[in-house]
Amino acid sequence: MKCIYCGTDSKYSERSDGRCKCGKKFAFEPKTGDRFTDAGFKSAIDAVSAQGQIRWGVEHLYYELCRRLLNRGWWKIWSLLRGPRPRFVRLDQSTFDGLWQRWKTAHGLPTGLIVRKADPGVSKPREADIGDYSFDRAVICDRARTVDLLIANNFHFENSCAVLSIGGYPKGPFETVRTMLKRNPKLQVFALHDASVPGCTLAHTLANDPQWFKGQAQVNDLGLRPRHAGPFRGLLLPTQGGPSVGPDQGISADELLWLNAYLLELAAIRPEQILKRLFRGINRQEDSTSGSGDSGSTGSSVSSDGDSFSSDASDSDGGADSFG
Amino acid sequence: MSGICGFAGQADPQVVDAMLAAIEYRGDRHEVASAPGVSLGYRWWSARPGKSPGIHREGGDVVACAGTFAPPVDSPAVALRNRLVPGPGGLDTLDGAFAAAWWDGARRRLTLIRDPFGVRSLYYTEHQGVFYFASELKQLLAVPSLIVEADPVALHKYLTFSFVPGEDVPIRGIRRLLPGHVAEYAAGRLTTRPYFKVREEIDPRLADRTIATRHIRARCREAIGRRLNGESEVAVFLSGGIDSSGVTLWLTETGVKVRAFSLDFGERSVEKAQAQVVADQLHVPIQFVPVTGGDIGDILPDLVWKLDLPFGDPVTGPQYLLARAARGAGFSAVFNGEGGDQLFGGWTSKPMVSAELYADLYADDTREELYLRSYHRFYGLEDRLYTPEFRAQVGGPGQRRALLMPYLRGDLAETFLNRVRLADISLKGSQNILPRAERMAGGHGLDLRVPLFDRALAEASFHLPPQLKLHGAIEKYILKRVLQRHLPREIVWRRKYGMSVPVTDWVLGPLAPVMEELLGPPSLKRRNLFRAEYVDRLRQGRNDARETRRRRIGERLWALAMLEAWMRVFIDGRGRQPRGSL
Repeated sequence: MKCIYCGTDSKYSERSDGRCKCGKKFAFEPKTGDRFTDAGFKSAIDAVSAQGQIRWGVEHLYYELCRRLLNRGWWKIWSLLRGPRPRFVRLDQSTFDGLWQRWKTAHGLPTGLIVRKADPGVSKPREADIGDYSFDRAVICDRARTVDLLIANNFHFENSCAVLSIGGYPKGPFETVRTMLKRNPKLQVFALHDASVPGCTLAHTLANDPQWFKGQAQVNDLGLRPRHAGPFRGLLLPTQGGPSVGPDQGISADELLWLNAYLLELAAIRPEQILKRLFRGINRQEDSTSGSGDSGSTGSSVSSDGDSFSSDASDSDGGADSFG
Repeated sequence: MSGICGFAGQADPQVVDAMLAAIEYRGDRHEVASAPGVSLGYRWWSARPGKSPGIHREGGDVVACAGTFAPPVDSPAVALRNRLVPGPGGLDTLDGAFAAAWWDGARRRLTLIRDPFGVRSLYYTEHQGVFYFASELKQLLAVPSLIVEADPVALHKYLTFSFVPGEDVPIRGIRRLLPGHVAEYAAGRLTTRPYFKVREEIDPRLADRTIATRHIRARCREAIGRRLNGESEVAVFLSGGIDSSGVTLWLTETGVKVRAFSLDFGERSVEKAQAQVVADQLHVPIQFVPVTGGDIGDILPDLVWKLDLPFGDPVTGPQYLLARAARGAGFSAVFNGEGGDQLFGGWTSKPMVSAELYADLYADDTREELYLRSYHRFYGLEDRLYTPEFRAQVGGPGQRRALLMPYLRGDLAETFLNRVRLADISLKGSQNILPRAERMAGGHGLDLRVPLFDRALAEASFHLPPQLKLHGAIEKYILKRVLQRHLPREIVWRRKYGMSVPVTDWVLGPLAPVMEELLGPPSLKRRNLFRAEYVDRLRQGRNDARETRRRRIGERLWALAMLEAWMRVFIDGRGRQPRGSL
């Protein structure tokens, strides 16, 4: 087994104290049943962080490890025989939590991991005039962790973009930003979410809730839906039982059937691809709707970008068969 | 157009001849005036209005002035001396595009001055006890015994900004006088001070949009009028955006004949149709100048030489071709629309507002660091780009952030938006956009007029409530209101595209052999500044993982190539005109 620090390849007998010759500790020991080596775990971290260039969350690492398990030995053969039916992840969350804890104990927090500062609570902007302006576009997420991913990677800065979760994150600037969004009658709104019941109703909620964009903006759905699940076999979670949903909340009967059995999280896609897909989805939408005039569009509607995560997802979005 | 140079101290007067010979494209006439311990040189085009007709001598005083004032005067050199003699107050309304030197014989003091926003440049150095100064860097390199070595600290800043900001020059020992500053050299000591600073002073009367619109329209028209100098016909660089469209409109309102020059990138043109619409509406003839990657390769050695400093924005090649076309059509003066973004709230406004709102969530970038990232070059990528040897020479942390602190956190403005405006004006405007545009125009014998970088207009823009600059999400709102009745609606209110040079297509296509020559392994090894693996990735068209825009590949590669080309011409070649390829 190779040491991630000095590269020495040691035999089991040479690391009986759990350390390499260089003195560094190993987090895992495959000889005693661990499913990953330190080098394999580090390789997964390198993949989610794009070799340290992208900020990422621990949930992305979880799915990266799930992907790697799917490509191993008889599991790969079995999945090929079983065909394109949906399958659940092979690494349960508590096992992952244990691995992650041991990694942190042995090697500390990896660089690039998104770590929130203590929540400062609701705050006024430091500069008095900040709230007087607006944004060209807003990305509204179903999860606060997706907001973290976008902000920590400066997506908001690169794209003049507000990023909020529907649940009120980040708390500090949340109401300031939401009020600012009202100042742009030509605002473009993009929903980014899991393939889940709350996720798939997000765009509909945003377009119809007066606290959000009812009567103001078109909401474009760039999130995951059941039809995108094909390339993500083996990365699905069982549905825990979610809220009921009415027929007019943006979910079809077929989708509901799938959603009652499965959950596909956005985090199953590698962070680099989430950012690039979102960028492309926004540009595609805006190019198709760009017009002139300062008079804003009024009324609200929902459009869905069916190609956003589906067309080449197996090539680059972290489909189970793509990464090993 | 036109240039000055000289020295104070005991030196061979013939060195001034050599310095004047280095900028022959800046005029067909030159003159040298010497007095004990001082020598001044001046090169200018004869038969051009608004230029000093020669070096002005009065008693023991000698004055050389390159450029013009706004409004024009018969002799800028005479006018400048008259303003400098009484003391600092004489400069309170001084405006234009000029760089000048005044030798006060009675006090044995040399005074140097640059225009408020830095259209004209002025460099200086002390060498073997002599103080030399010049309009262009290449003139100082003509001083025979001057040691020419690259300054890694300045190169480091270039790699962040794509230009060298502040007083730094990327050659050790040479400095630059900042825009809006005066320098005095006497008894071996140099002191510098600003004579002009933009400061936010919001006028509550301008909260009324109608009054504000009228006010800004009047200032814009005055700024245009102040820059006309008796020409019967002038050229304008028209992009199709609102800034250059506005300048074209106001020029036509004065009654002067106008001809527009615009870029044609073929099927990659972004604003060509808009430029045609504006020209048609204003009944202005328009000439489209085709630009291909091959064209840029052909002009590259002369482009680098005439730019004088390294400028990493790929817009310089197209600007060179525009200027060449305007000069070829017989023009001697050209207007452009630069300054609208800086004064009225384009470019960095919305990203910086967005960044400010989300600051402090993850204990990461400061306001200054985010602003540095907005240049999209190599800030934050130093570990991947720099060799260890180069990294060790670039100086300690905080130098780049320190350049921004006076604007982003200082007391020149109280509103956030105007703080960012000040940073944009002082850095990107005064130290990048203006000098490079002047080099491209001056390099072709054209006099550049930049009416939106007008002193009174800039001050008026800082009397406006910032909400009239960024209005909701509408950038340059007040300028759009000023223009909305006079230009087509789709020009005024459409989404901004900006100058979109297809540089990635060029560097990965027709310019790939040039990139190989400048940034291939042998060249990188010889210079030992950059890691080959990082540059090779860019040359293969592979973006950084965090980048979502393909154009960043070309922008970064071009910035590196321009630096290497600049080093070949100015470090290896001491600023002599390159013959043939680089």
